[in-house]
Amino acid sequence: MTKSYGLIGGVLVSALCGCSSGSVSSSKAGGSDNANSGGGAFGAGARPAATGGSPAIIAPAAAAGAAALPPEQEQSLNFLSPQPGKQYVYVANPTRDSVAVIDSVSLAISEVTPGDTPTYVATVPGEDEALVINTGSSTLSVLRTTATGTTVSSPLPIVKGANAIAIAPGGAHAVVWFDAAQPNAKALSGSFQDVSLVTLSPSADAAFTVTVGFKPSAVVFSDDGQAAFVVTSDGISELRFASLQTSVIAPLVRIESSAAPAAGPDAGATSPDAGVAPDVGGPSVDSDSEVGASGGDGGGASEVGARASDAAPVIADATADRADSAPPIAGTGLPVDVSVTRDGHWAIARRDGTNEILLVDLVGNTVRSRYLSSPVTDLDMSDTTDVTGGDIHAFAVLRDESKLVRIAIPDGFTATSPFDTWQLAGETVGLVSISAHGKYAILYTTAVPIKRLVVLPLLPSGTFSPLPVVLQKAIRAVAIAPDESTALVLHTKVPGNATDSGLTLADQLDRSYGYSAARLEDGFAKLQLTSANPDPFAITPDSSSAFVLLRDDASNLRVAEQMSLTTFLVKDFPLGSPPNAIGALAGINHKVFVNQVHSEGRISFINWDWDDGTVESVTGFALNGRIRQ
Amino acid sequence: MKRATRLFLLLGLACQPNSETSSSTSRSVLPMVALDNSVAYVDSSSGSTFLLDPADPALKPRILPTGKSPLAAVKRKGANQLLVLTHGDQGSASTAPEPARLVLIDPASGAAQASYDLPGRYDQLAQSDDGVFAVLTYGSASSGASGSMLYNPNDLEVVRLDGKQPPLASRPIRSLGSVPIGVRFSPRTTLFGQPRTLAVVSAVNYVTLLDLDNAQHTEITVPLVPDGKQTVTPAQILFDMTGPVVYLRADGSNDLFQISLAQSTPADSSSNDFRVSLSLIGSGSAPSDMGMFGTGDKMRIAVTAPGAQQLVILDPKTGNATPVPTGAQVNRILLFQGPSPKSSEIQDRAMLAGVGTGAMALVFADLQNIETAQGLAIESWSLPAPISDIRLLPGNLALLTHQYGYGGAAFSIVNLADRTIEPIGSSGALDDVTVETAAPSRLWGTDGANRMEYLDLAGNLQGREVILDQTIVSITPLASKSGDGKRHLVLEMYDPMNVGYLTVLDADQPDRKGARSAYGFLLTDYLERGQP
Amino acid sequence: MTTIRHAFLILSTAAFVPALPAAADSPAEPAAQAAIPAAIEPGPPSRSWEPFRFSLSAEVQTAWMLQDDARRLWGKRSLAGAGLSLAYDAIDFGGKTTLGLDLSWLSTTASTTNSLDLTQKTSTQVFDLGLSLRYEVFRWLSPYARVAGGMGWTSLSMGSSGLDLHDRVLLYQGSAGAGLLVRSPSVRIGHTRRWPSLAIVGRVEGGYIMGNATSFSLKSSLNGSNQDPIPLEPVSVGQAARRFPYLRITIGVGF
Repeated sequence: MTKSYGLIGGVLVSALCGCSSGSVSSSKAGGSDNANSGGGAFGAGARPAATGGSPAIIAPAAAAGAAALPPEQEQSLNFLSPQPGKQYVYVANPTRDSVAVIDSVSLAISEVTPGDTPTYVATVPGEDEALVINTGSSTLSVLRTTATGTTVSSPLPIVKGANAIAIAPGGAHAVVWFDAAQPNAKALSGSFQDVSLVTLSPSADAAFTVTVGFKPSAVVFSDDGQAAFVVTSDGISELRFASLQTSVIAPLVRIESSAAPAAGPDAGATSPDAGVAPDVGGPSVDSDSEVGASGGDGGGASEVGARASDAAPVIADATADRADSAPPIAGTGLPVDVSVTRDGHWAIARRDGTNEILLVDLVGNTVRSRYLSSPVTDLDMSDTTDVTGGDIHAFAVLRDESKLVRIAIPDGFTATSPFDTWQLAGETVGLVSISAHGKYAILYTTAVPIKRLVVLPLLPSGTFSPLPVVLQKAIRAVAIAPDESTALVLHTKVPGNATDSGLTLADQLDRSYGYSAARLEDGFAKLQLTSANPDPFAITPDSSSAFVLLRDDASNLRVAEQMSLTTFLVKDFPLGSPPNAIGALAGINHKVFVNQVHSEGRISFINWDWDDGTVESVTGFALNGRIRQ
Repeated sequence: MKRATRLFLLLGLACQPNSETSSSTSRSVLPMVALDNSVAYVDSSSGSTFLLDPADPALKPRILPTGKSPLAAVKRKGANQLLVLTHGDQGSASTAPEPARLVLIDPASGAAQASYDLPGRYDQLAQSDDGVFAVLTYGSASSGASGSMLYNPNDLEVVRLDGKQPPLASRPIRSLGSVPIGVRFSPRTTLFGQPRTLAVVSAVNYVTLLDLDNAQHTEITVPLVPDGKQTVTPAQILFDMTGPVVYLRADGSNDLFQISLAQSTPADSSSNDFRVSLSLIGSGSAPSDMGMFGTGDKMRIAVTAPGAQQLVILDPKTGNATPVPTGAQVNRILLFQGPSPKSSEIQDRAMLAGVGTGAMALVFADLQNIETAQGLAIESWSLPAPISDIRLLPGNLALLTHQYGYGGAAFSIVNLADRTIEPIGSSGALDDVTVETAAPSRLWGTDGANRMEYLDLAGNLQGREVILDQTIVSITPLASKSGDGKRHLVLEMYDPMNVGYLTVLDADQPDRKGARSAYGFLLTDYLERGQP
Repeated sequence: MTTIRHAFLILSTAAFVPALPAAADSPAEPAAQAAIPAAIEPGPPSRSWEPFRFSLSAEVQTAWMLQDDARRLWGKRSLAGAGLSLAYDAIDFGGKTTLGLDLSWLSTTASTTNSLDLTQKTSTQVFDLGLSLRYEVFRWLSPYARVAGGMGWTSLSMGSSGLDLHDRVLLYQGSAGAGLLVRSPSVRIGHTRRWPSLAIVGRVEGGYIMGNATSFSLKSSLNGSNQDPIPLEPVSVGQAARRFPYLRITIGVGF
């Protein structure tokens, strides 16, 4: 029985492709967004939560003594969805051992057979080049498409059970690994400590295996694409491509799980600038850390176990936080929300469920900690060193205190260095998304149905003017457009029927599906109700439009809805079959693709120019692959 | 006595009876071909073509040897010429072989204008609407059709009839397990910078595209099923040359096939300068007929789905299908542009009918904005009897032929603008109904005997009759006037001996008084012609 | 095969003739007859080789169609006809040379299925007037040369009854030939001289006939029963040559 493309697509819960650059916050340093997996969920919670299926839920333990709010929800990418390049879209059909290469301009489809059961696909951003994992043979094939056709490299051996691909900026390297958090990933089906390092070159693709820490959850790259950092449960394994020519054990910067509660914030600091609490048995890390420093003076050089102080923020109008007497919070202790600076020197992480944030020196192989006054629910990085005068900061959200903490990297992780704190009184925020160039931070929560988010301009430094944005519905996910002008907010839906009698308008809205667009400059927001859950979605690379897919098989609803991010007007594109994936192509043709459920495979290309809106569809991937030209 | 007996016996031997049966071949005459102002018969036994000019007072045909074993004769489209396809003769120890031929005959001169020796004994001929190209194929994979021992049933011949070189191109085409079952031609259009005609060769489960102006280029084979578990037979093909796109409906498939052409750089001299991609458009259940309307982004395809009693409007760009209930089992669609009783605007509209389904309703659809209006765009009228055929006539009229026996109505004339239906009664079933769409628009028919009846369709619908002497078999109005300044009506009469029996009348003023008949004209010059 | 049969007939006839009773006109016999007194009863029939003036014969004529059109007309290469002839020895030049006249009638009919799968019937009726010059080599054998001229008609019909097409055309012909006449002695059939003497006469003659080409324009009586039928144009099927060799065999009585 031939497995339909639709069934494969149907496995997908949502297929927001990070290759559509506007779809997620780009605060993390370098790397292909394809490398995102749910486990690490680094790069902040700017991606919408999964709808059904197996979302990658990061569930920090509730802080001891704090209100028991549910965990924030973030989403992982799924490599089973079609992947766009510059002009071509690649769709894998494991049953037919083929990958359909679809030309978004001519709608020509060619079918290539890269190997046994090609299943997972990732494209090099901005290029018509795709990496395909052939699960049947544990090999990787590289597809390169030009106007004359697609070349398929010889299959490269990769780790068994690999189901995730991360591609370095520039597309010269890639890392292939087994992500246990992926949907359909089965225990013991892959290697928990092997990754394949792939060198991509049209004349000499090569791959070899490298041993890393236990259970990789994410891979990030330095901005120059010369290094990859594999986030594992043990720590961060470094892959410096220039120095790796053969299989080795990758250097590991160990980040131990916390075995004891971390000390709470500074209990006795009187100076608002004091920021170091005594070390109360924090975990030991690398040799050059200053273990055992005891504190009280707040001035120890130890960077281990350093806790965050509640020093007054540098920002003039920020509220100085006093030391909180709440004890350190223990949690799972797993390092999550890992971000790496553009130069690949530093990485930050937080211990899940704790108030500890970590600074990992990837060059010196050391780890420093800072302890904040309450559990950190989200950690993100803003690295603007690509512009003159730019800097690097870590942003931590302390949901229990409604605080956003900004810590300079690396200086802010010394015991006495101050950090900025913004008190968002009256707001419940648990997640932060930093815009692409660090202009805004958007704070919100998905744990409770709060119908607000806060837009915090981050530049120029020294200003603090949070802008609350009132929404009509609770938040499920937020994405910031690449031009940092607008944000797309996906909402939750309260169970029940919006048309029941006796409901107030607010109840009706709560029971409806919908999404909002918010202008970051002034907080203007527009609610757009929909007939089905708007998911997945994509924001075009030029930030002109956002697309959401609306699908309800019961009512035969099959629509791709376009919202202009300039006017907030919407336009619907009816589709021939239920949609299940959407993505934007990086080329000059201004097209998004919408993959649909069809036994023969169906994909539509929509021109996102508001005055154009041309839709072209092609159905029958297998048939097209059999055309003899 | 004995001697006398012997004498008479000898005389008896001398008087042998003169009743030997000479050897004869089984004889067949191909169906009459109506040319512009004459008719042609091809005698397959003698290999001769008989050209009869109705204006000739003697009705004596001109005879032209055409070639041995002719098996098909058709009028060349777009020209007043006759095409005859022959199988030739395989020859024997004493007879030289004669190749298969395609002969182009000019009836005015009575001579063969061109004769093309063919490399194979093809038995199917298809020609483009402009008469520029003919494609010859084998009609079957069994040798019985061609008479050849060994042959490639996927071998076809492209013949250029307009005199340009090369006139012939032999093209064995790729097979995916079947043989050609039909050929359709695109309108001649400038495609990718060059005027060209495309041919779509149908086969079970696939079609083949050929660029006839570059016949030596590689053919493009488009499969219609992904595997061999399904049988799909192409049934109808539409061309949208603005795309350019080919739409195909196939029996056994609920989808329409959309074959899109896009320009590409040829890899070598034998490659095409275009590529095709295939898309499936779901059209409901078992589509029976389709038609295109609208232009540009508003181009849509209307498909009848009789099983679901729906008209399905397809947007080929998105693949979106809008089913519109019709309330009747309609399986044929006639598209036209015209007003309606509610609107004087000239718009795309359709008349839907159930031909052979027993449906007693006629459905009209206003196609503009039908995806939005849906049921509001549908109007249904009842019929006096079920329909066996529908035909579009000029002047926004349509002719419905009813199944006989339902209350006497033989035909109905439908005014598409007013949506009125006028039944035309008949005392008996009409045979061999011929409709003349060119002005004067007339319907001709016979009662199965010697009475011919005709009806002016554009006038007052008054019927007239002409009584002839023998049973009428077919009625053929010729398109053009003959040399005598008259346009003739040629009636084939009952001719069991196949000797040729025609009656000729004035088509514009048919009257028995002006009728002339020729009986036995296929025997003309029999004594002097060569042996068959 | 036909030719072989005819040859056999001729040879057989030639072999048969000597089997006829021999003429008994020998000089020894009158003396024997004079010794017998004249009887009152009549004597046996008398035989003699006296020439006869007239002969009435039945004849069979075979012709061979050499032209294709003629073959198509008749549907076969050779055909035979039968008839009657009446000959009269007009002038006896004394001795053994005799000039004779003859009047003959010949009917030839053929029915075939032609190459168009049609039943085709052809028939010819010819009346000939001939002039022959005969020389007696033996009393029973006389070669002769003959010329003749005649006219008649040919009818052609194609098709089945009721639907057929037919035509009839006049024909003219002349012939020249040579043959052999063989005869038996004359036998008086009665007792007195008032009764005629009859001899059996046979002729074998071969020659060549030349006539006008017959051109047929077939018509149909298809609608003949109608009071005012639609005119049916006749169909010209072409013409057939009428030039062929023949072999004629007659047998009859001379008196």
